[in-house]
Amino acid sequence: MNFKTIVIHLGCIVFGFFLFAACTPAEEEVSSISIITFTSEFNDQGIVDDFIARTGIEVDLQVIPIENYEAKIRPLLATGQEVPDIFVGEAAYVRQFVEAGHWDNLSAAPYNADVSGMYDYAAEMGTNEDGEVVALTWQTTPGGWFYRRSIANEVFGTDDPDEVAALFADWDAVLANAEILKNAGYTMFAGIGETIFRIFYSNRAAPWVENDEFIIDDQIKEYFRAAKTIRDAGYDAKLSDWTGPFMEAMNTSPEDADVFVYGWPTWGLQFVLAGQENSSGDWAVTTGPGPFFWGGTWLGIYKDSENKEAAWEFVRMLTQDEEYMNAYTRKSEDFLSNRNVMESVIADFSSETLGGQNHFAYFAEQAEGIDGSTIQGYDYQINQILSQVMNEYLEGSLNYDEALESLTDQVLTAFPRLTAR
Amino acid sequence: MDQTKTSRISREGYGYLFVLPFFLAFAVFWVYPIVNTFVTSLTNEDFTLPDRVFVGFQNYIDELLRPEFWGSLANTFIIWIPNIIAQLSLALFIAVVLTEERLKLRGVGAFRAIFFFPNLVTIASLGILTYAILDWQSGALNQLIFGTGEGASENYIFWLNSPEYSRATVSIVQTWMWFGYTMILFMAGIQTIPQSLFEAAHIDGASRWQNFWKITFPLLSPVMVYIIITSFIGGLNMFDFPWVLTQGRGGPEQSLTTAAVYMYKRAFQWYQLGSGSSVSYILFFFTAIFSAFYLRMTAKLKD
Repeated sequence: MNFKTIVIHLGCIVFGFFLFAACTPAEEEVSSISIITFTSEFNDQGIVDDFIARTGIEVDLQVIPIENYEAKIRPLLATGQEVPDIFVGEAAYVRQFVEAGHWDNLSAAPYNADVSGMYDYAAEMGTNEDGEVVALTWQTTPGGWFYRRSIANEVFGTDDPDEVAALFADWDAVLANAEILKNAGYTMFAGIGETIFRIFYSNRAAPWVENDEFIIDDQIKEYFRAAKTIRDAGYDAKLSDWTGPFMEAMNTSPEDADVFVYGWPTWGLQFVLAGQENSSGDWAVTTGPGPFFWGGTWLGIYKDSENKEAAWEFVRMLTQDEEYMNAYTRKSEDFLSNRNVMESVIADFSSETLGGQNHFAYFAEQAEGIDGSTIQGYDYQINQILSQVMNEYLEGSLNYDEALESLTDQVLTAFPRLTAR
Repeated sequence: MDQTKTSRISREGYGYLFVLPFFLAFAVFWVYPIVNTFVTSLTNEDFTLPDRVFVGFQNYIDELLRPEFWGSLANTFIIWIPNIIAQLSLALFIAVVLTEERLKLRGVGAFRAIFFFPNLVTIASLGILTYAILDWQSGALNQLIFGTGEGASENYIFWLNSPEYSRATVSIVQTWMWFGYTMILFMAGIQTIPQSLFEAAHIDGASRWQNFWKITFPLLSPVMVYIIITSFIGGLNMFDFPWVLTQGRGGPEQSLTTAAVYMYKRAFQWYQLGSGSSVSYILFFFTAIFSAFYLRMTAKLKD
């Protein structure tokens, strides 16, 4: 064997290793689609299985933890390499993806997506400036305040959602009733977190950034003031969202209940509250001092996908096929984006966690009032900065003006292209 | 004649073939990323912007002019310096005790393993554990100090909301993690010191203290320099623990935004890959200076 032959052979072995990884068996008729998502619902709720059973198309599903999802998908989109046929966007940045043009226009043929049955904000979030629908969602995520029936009965003499809603009519009412709760030995809130923040955040008049200028909306300023009042007056149990004690406070039996209210969207009931065995049945949902929504997953088809037809089958099944959606909502108890489907099933639902309350009727009413127009691609990062600054403000290391200044400074550091007034 | 020539060439050829896999992997996993990072650092690459434009050294200038960058570097040092001092003192003390001939300690191997153990714990789990211990309302530390009775929680300290306590926490945990490793290096260093020196000192009536200061300590300086420099390089890369502890938020007043955390935020949280790459090159530059300094120091010590 001469030197050349050896080089060729060894080279083949080494490169073969890499090539092997890159080669797929000769493409058969499109029989497989790839999906990247941050939510395990596609698997957990049997959506992928349903799809395979219906179409025979295989699904290569990659679930990335939500905190790493953007860091995973954005480089793929930037380089255009290994982008899956379908990828999802979360409410916090779906607008950015929609405007960036990574998704195919689903309004046009061959898709001809129909959004007439969808709740308005759900359709708007996936529609670009030219009026083309590029992303669809199967769910809507209106929120509400979930309160303890036991505490409501004891302190306010009623656990009726309509009557309790009056206790939360506006922030003044919330604070006044928080004082009553405190005197009775309870706390209104678990901590200064999403429950309070979501309401102010969802009711802003302006987004965080307009024309490259960072804006602190009046609602955010109100949030700072309300949060400080709540903390200083002892209306919260000082627990941080999602920590062990925060979750435990939700799972205490009615006799040991301490925290009165938690704000959650649809999925909060499904994935968080429903898991709290000790407090099951002690909850009810009602309107807080403002409407809000939290989260949501939109999905679209990558513009350069080679399996658009098969990918559309998946998107169509989940977001357009009313028969499937009807069956799916009954199975998963997920609140879906299609008005017709929801109206047809509302009457059949009641939640054990909520002591038999029909949460679908509540959510359907809330879904009509949602405005997603102030949500932007900057929100996730800016909200993170805000929550850190808020802690420092609450504990007194920053005063109100310093807190707003620190928020502005940190946002401008994070996004040097922005300015601030 | 011809025969010899061929065989020599093919023997040299084999040599290249054997190192080929390494160089391929090296090129793919080291050289390419390093070069690509540098190229990226010269652009405005941003995952949220459509176009990538060449901007020269603008990112470097911007970063060097940003107080937040210097702040993150300062954080790194404020955390690293107490850590290295504590780590060296503790490790040296234990190494000397464990290797002391006259003490004839039993179970030295077991101690060595136990002290090394923290180094094997995954940092992410350590972050979560520390967070649980320091939790404001339900953490073990507050309950231990102030009790759990009625009204005790009024006095609870919000440890992780204070820049000083937060930095101290990271320093302490880093020390706890690394002193065992450092101790093993010191023990190895001490064992290379010829016994005859100690015996001679013993005969001359030297005390243990004199033994330590006049023999052990000076002869350990190469090891010491090695530890300081590698720890410094590791310190500049300090990322995972502060990241987990603050859930990526940087901690109170950004006190736990170390240089590496800052770089990661810039590149992967704020998606300014161009700027992020320039930060990594600036850090690389600092590390290179210290490495050069290290090489000169060790060369001098050898002389």
